[in-house]
Amino acid sequence: MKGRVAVGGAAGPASVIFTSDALSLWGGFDPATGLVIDTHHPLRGLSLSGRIVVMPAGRGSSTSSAILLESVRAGTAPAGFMFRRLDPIFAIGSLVAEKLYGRAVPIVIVEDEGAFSALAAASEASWDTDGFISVR
Amino acid sequence: MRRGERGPAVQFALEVLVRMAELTDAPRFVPIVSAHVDGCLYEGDAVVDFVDHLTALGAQVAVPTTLNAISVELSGWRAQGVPAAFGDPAERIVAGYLGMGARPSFSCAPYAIGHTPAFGQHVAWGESNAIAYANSVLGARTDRYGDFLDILAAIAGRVPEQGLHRTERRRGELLFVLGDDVDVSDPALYPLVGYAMGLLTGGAVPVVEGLPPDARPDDLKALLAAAASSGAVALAHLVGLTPEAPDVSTACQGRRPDSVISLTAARLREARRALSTRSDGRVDAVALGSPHFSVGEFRELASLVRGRRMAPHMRLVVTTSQFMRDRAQEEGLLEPLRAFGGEVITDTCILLSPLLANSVRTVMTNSGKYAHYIPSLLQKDVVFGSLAECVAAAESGSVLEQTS
Repeated sequence: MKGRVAVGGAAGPASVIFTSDALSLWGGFDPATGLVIDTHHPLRGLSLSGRIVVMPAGRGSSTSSAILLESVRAGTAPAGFMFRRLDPIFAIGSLVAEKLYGRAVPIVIVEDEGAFSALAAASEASWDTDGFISVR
Repeated sequence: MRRGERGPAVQFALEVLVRMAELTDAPRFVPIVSAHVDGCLYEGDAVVDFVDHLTALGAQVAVPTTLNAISVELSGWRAQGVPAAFGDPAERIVAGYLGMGARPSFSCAPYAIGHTPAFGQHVAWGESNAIAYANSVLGARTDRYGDFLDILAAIAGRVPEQGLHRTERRRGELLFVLGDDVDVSDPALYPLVGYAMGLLTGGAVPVVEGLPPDARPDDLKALLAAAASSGAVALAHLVGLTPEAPDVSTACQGRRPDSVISLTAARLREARRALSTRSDGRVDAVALGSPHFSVGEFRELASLVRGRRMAPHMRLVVTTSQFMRDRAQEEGLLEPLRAFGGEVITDTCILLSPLLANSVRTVMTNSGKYAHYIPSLLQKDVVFGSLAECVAAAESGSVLEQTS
């Protein structure tokens, strides 16, 4: 499977956390703990730290980019994001993390719906700088 | 523009903007007429690092730039018991942005305080409700600018022509038709429609048909803020109400919508249920003003509270900008509110600043945005209701039987 590397180059291998419900990081993710705190979200209470987060898109607040940067600073950031559609708010958070701390959170885009849905069953994933994705 | 021609801050901004342009396949840059910066919140020390970095580079904004609501009420945070470990860095971030030439607007409703771009103008706005309002109601063009990109665009004075800056990306895709069974006189109609729509929109541009033609700007503000909380709605065409939507066909740029969803009374009841986390009547505080209260909303509130008195254990907080508080003060709208027992807090909001004591367990609000975020950001219960229901709860000390 091939995706388009948006930011940050290669990622993983790391365990996959899949959701079909878009998550806003602001109000949805606590950078101090790495846990999902959105009470409306099915991943509530789970940790995203060091994991490949697979979801269709980001959602909601434009402060999500700041939360992503905070999580990089705090060491609680995900290992990478896989989206169907690039969310510019996640991209900017990751780009600024690269600029300020030399550590981007890699983002890869998998537009094809069938390929994306197949990721629901993956337990572990990684991708290289060309966007070739390996799943287990 | 060559690298470094206008100094290291512009170079830094352009480097990031060029990366964003590449990522979004933008064919060119377009100049912007204003920016609204949401990245002035103290969410942690990374934001302080970012602002300090820009300040060290000598950054200055190139276009009129407003600041969003901030993390503290500047004149009041010490007296409110906000810890210095939170208040001090929050002030430092604000001072950094003011030093770059941003205006001390401190509001999540910049469109209400004279910061209104004209139809078709490009802007770079952050803050989800402001983005949705600028695109939908003003017909200005902004993409969803995340924190950091907003100030970088302000410094560069231009943005990649991508996303909602492009005409074809503004086409209505998903048509919501208000059901015949919906009571359009329900005072909570607008936030409920917005919330229900946001849940179903995904990444599409929604069109809503069937809203009352006499909807006021405050109604549209409530609808869009709720939609931008439950979904990633950055532009919604409200038929007969917003400038790109005189009719469904125009909103969809002459094509048919990709799909049609009926917003039935049942869907709105579902939205109302999703916005409340308890129903036993308990309420400790009422919070109004997300987005920041307008003078029209102060008028409505003043007429509701006049001659009434809040229950002794309650708290009623209205969040707004200094600009709007002064307008309300001039019109004599704050006296009845103070006599009732309510308070006005400027610059910030309950989601950003630790304004409500731990003993406040349940907050009632008429804002779909407050209601959406209170449980996760404040770990408190929430009850959603109309403005009149909120005032009744503040007076009686408990939530009265709600219409639904």
